[in-house]
Amino acid sequence: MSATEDAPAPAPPAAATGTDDGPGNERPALRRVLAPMHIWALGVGIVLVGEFMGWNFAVEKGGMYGALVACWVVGLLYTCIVMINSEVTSAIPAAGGQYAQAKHTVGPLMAFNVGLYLTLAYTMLEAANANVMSALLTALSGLLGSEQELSPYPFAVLAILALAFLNYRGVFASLTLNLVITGFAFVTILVLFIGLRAWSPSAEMDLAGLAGDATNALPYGWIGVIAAFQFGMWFYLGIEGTAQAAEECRSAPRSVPLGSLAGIMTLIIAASLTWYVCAGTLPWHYLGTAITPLFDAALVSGQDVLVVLLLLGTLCATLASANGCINDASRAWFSMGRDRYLPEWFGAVHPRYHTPFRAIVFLVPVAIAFALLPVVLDQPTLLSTVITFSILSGLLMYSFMGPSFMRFRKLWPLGTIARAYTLPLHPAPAIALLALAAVVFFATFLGYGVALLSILAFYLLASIWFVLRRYKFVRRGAQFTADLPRPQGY
Amino acid sequence: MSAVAVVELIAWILSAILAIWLVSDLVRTGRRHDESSLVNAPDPLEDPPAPADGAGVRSA
Repeated sequence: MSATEDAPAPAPPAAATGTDDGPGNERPALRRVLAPMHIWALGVGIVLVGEFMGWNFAVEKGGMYGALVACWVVGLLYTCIVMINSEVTSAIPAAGGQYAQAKHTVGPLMAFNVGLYLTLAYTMLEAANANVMSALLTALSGLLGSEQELSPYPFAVLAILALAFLNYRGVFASLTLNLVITGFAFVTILVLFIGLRAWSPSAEMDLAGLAGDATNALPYGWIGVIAAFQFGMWFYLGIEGTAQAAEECRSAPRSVPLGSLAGIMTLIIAASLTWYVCAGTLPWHYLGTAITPLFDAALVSGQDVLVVLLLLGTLCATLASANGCINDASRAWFSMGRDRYLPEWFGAVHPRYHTPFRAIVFLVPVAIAFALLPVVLDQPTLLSTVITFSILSGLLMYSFMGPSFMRFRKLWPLGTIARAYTLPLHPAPAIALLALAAVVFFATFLGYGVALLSILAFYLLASIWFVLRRYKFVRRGAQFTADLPRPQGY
Repeated sequence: MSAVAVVELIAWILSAILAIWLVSDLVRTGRRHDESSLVNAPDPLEDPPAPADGAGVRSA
């Protein structure tokens, strides 16, 4: 199939702007108010918490240099994802991001699965963030001199509800907040770098002593490096979420590539700085199991200002991640409802706030349940299971993006449609993405084989449900919603 | 009542207020507006899309 210019007559994107409530505007739509900085804040905001915690488990698997290799190789994987996303989203700027891409390039079953991956990945991540935030508040109260331990329940619940409320009232306010707190969290990493005088490794850091020896650098050889890849994802997991906000950008073809590419650059810088600072201040055995490595690096410095700043930075990063996750999960769920992959009730837009209000509210109890489950059942390992589910859902989605992009280029070759961003060196990035995703799958299988197989079984059952019970409700004639020429035979 | 208990109580009260507001607005909006006017779904009977000035998506 190839693209054709013999498309039917133009149809204006009716009510798509959603910027007015006038009498002629019968159905409310998502409001187009976002700029590139909001896209940056959404992408980096979701991810930056991974710099403050989580990535360091790569050190346990592969040692200091193993974690660094994972940081950069997985960074390459995410750079491919961001570049592919930038081209496709600038052509198909729809809420749901990769879900809408799959709908147009592959088909309904793939789209349903991608929508489900997205919703579950972000909801689980949101739950994990709320859980971690309540633990951080407990640590904060301890630092403030409280002898009583705070209960984790009220703060996890309050965080999810407050952020859901903000998202319910409007995307502009919620992503502007993300911009502020994400920017602050990023600055705290820079301040830590400066506070430790990290440009002079012999001053306060002991990089040669802690990371330079072979037993610290690569204790398990190259298989350890491969095993570290699954935790290298923490440095970047969620940056692909920038595509979810495409329908709410003032100019998606400009905002999504700019915000996303600036985002991945920020993250690669932040990841490298984080590794460098932590590897020079903390022994690898400790670093590999630490809960909050950057905060611990600040504690080692002995500077109170750095300790307070890094604690606040960790809190802000957690909050920003949860906020971005609510935004992205609700857009994916809303998009599936709009296309009747789920009950159409979820496809409603608030007539006043222009947000997918039902999708936002529906996912609140789900997130609260997963946030509190590890506490209620007194099973702290359940938190890592929740996070693993999120990571694996993301990984499943990445593995489809390479082939999907190749099909996108086949359906709409260069020159047939307007592209604000064109992926260079095609098909090298798509092939690299596929290969790297396979390696990370292998790494995940080494550590979480049972979880991986369980999740694959879950998505298989969900697919069977969709084909047998749900597909009959899908309006097949209304699935092609992009303002693109229809490929021949579509 | 300790300071920790007060802080926790405030968090619970705020959570309850937010939850009540979210659910009540959700229900109120559904009652005040026709369902078909809320759902932002493309109508298969509308004209199909075609290239516009910039690429975009057809919503409602």
